[in-house]
Amino acid sequence: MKLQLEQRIFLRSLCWQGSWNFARMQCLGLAYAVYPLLEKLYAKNPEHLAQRTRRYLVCFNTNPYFAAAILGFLVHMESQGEEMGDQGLALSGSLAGLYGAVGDAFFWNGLKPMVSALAVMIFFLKPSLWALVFLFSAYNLIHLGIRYTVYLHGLHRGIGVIETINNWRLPLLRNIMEFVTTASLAVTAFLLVDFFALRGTTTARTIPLFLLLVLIGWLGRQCKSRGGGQLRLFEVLPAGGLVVLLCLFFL
Amino acid sequence: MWLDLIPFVWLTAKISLLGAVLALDRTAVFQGMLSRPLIAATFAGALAGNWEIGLLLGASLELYFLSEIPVGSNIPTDDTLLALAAGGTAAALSGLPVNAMLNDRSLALMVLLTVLPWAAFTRKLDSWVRVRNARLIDEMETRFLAGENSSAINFHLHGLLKFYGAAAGALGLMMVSSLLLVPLLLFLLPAWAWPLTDRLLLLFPAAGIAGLLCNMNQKRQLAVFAGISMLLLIL
Repeated sequence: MKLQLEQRIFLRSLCWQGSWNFARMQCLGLAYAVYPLLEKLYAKNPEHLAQRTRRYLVCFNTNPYFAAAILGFLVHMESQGEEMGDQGLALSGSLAGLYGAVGDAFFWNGLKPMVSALAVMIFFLKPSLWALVFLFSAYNLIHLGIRYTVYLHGLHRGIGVIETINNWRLPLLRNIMEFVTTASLAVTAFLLVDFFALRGTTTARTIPLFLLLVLIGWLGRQCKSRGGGQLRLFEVLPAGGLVVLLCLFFL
Repeated sequence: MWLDLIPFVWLTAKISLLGAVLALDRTAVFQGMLSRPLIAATFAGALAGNWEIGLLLGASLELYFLSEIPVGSNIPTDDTLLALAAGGTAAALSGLPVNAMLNDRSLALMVLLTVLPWAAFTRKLDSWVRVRNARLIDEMETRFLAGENSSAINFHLHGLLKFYGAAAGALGLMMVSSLLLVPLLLFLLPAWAWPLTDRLLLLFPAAGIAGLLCNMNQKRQLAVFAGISMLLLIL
């Protein structure tokens, strides 16, 4: 296969979720990404091309980054003939579930919070555009690197891509990222005291920081009491009373 | 009087149309964090002539929505639209003489209070677009059956237009409402409370930290957080 076609398929996978829907989720994105290969294989028979493409319009959902691994695998199988292509598509459903779970945990619970927390920490340390530059470049270096690597592995090794991803020990990496996130959140809390001038005229940081930690703890309890997720505005605003008291007594 | 409003109308249109491109990064294209509040709010602020207040708003919102994750068919709040609308509004209002008594943090808080109630609307809008996208499957199938293969496959890209249109419309709506509500809020708020408002902005990063800690492996992460905080307290 020409390098140009490989790259074209990968580029198309960047808008994988362009028509995400509740009925069959990412199916149109999958068909759109594979289409250049099918067009090349069945160029002489448009009816057969339509039939082969329509097979991809089945319910499909996975992590959008690890979707590249499945795409590479499908291209690998499809290029080996119709029977192999059918087998690949049948297997891709199971792979989607597997990579959905692994990818969501790694990217949404690990990498994204870590990079965001570090970027926010950089901002509160010294407000500048560096926070923004860090967020964009650090995340994309890692995410695009992984996305393209798993695509190439799927393309050249087929089902062997599972072994590749397994060897990366993503759960361990995620745990490490969670520790980095937590550490940077603690430092950010510390920096908030200075950024919002909570020390006022006093020099000691101890009391304001302690009260801020109490505030975070109280908000955390609110969050936990309803099973996690994001705190709503009406849940956050009552905590403003504590901040006002903090300002009135210590500034 | 109407002539005075023209710059705001132009600004709202500019941020809606350009900001919606950035909002595509959230789900439809690339997903390279261009849609994170830190970047989106700074971008909108820059378009309105004050990127610093956009950056401040972005940093305050960045952690706040991070604990909601797009797993499976769960639709989290569209923090990109909220950040774009907030960044654009705050930057637009920061240049007005009436806001001279407010510092950036107070203004940012006022803007957030008018923009964040739209959170539920952004979730509903996102769901609505995704429901409408399901029609594209039938359209594509019909075209394939008719033998129009090339046009059939491009129906996938129609989804992008839907995401874009919804984002642009919602942004315009949110910005107009916020531009109208912030002056009203300032009018209603007693002057003695103004100095306190700039510190209230810290509620958002604090709530973000709390939400993230709540979502993690509780015991281990809390121990790390408490340990580092103690260390910083001692130092």
